[in-house]
Amino acid sequence: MLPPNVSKSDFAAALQEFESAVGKEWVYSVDDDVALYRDAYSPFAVEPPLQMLASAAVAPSSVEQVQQVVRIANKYKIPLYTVSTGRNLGYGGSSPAQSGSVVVDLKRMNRVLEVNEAEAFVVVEPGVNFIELYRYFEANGHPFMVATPEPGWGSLIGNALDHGVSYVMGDNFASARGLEVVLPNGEVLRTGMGALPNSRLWHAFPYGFGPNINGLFSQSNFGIVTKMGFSLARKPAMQAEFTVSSAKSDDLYPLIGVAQAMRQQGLLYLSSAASPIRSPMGPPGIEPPPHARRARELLNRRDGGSPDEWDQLGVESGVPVSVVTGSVRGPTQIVQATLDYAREQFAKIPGAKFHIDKALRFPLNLDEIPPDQRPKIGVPSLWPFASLAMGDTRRGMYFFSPVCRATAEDLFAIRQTVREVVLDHADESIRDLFLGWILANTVYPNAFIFAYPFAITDDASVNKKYRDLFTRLVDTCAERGWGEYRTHVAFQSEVMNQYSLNNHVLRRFCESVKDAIDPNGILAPGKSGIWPRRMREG
Amino acid sequence: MNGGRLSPSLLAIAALAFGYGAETRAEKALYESSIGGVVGASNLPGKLGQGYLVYNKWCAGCHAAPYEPPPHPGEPAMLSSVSRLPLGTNIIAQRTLGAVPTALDQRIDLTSEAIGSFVRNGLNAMPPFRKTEISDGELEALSAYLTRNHSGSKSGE
Repeated sequence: MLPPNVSKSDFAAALQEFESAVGKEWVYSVDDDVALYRDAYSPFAVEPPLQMLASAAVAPSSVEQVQQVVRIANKYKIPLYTVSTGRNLGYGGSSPAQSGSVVVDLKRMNRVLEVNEAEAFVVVEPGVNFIELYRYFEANGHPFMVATPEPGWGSLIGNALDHGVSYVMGDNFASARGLEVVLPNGEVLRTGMGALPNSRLWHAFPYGFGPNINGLFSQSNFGIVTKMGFSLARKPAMQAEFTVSSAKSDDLYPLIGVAQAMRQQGLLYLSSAASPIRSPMGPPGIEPPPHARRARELLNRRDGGSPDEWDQLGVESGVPVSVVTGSVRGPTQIVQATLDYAREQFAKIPGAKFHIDKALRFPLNLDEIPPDQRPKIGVPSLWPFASLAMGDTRRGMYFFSPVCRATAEDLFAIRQTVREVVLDHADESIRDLFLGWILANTVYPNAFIFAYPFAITDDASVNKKYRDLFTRLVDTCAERGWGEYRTHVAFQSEVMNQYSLNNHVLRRFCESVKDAIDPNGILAPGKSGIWPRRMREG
Repeated sequence: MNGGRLSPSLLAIAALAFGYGAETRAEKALYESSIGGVVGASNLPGKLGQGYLVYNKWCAGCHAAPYEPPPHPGEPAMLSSVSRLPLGTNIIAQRTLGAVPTALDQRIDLTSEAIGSFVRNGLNAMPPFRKTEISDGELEALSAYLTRNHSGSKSGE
């Protein structure tokens, strides 16, 4: 495969120049090697013509090499697509947004550059993944948690730039402390205080002077981030999680209200809301208990069941109807006092049952913690993939990831919207997964984010139906005010299209920036729906 | 193999600069574990020892033996299958109905060819691994490690 609008001879010349820049063994152009960059969880897994494939890959090991690669790409107008560790499975993995792009694989840039214990920050290159950082901290005795998502083989930088989340820090991009970026013309820019030559505060202070442009390099194609600082969370003396449950559907309103008030006081670093009675999906092939069948009936009804009906089913089955959780960490006395305060606050809701699920004391004995739960305590793992065994996920999955306000009202409203779309547009066989209540986490303080999994099957027509459903969900949720916070690379133009206020001025603004700083349109064309001029026209 | 390292002299300077005294903490020989945690160096020789580290870093998180919590007197462990069984182990156990040991590094029937194919092509939900993650040399070491228990070893020597 050739990059779009690039001649065979130019491509050959470019590959040769890439080789002299990074070394022959780090340019991949034979089919078997390039195939390693395909999206392992492609929504088009069984429709090869629709897949986005790389024409080659190049793996620089330093910022200077990245600069050279960018300059060569400009010379031949070759689109590049950067991946840090390429493990953003479900959102595109290591495949480009436009077929024929050359993937810039930053996995070899895998140095932990600095750990500052006094000021609690780390500076890393893009290839460092969470598992590697954990090893580094442990090997050197650094007292920090790793803000890992599930699973832990992704890049700190890549995850933060795609607005990824962790149980430890929540919003990982918010912990960014200074970026180094190779711009589309090959220049190196440092953001914040890093723009000051001899800066003493690059990774200690969030801003510098003038516009804070960190955000321009997240979910964008305006530069290649080659270094980034992150503020860190110290290992606490104790980390505890409590659950408050109620047999009443309407109790979700005050339960979320109390949890949010504690969150806003800085007492909880994470909370979640759930309705176990409304989550009747068991493992496939196992006969569900009687209450699960009734729950499915209610969920499949257009109104989703009345509060009274759910309350009654809750009483009959003993399964909680409304649940919130809260997570606390810090010095033992403070955690215990916070738990006492939480118990007191939730006691104001008649019938609510407060339960401390676990109170872990550090240092931890990891052997006692099931591997799938280790990411919650800052220990990265791949074990969370275990949940894929629950369904038909032989070709992986991608996610519908909308955000709603952290109120019961909004939570009920978005579930109802999803229900209506699913009942109107999805085959009966795939409805359950979307109708049941998946967990809603407030890793962001005032919002619930979701990740509805879309299975990728061996049947192209089923996959097409899933994609159509995905589009319906994106469109309908957007109409009602709920956008997605991230999406698979294949759907980024579609999602960007929903952010259309004032005649798509957001996208047009991004295009203006793109055209100004990347006139040849070489960096990640199509990423987040931002296309360079030469690909927008005609 | 991977992960950045501050040189000992840089560490010493950093320690002084940030008031941690002149004593330098030596980096312990710990290696990545995709189960969650770290592992020590292997006592297997050469390539086998290297393969052990590749296995722990990239494979174990999905292919380890089932998780068994330490016994707590009077408290039976009630763990979900997600907590007990990593993905690959679960799938292989379902398909083979117990005919092979479920942890990959306990098996005696894997060939280097099969290992190479799984690593480079992936299978089902398992993605392929790129050469920037597992180099050809590391793949060879991994194969040597995973085939070390063969009676007629093909690649273990």
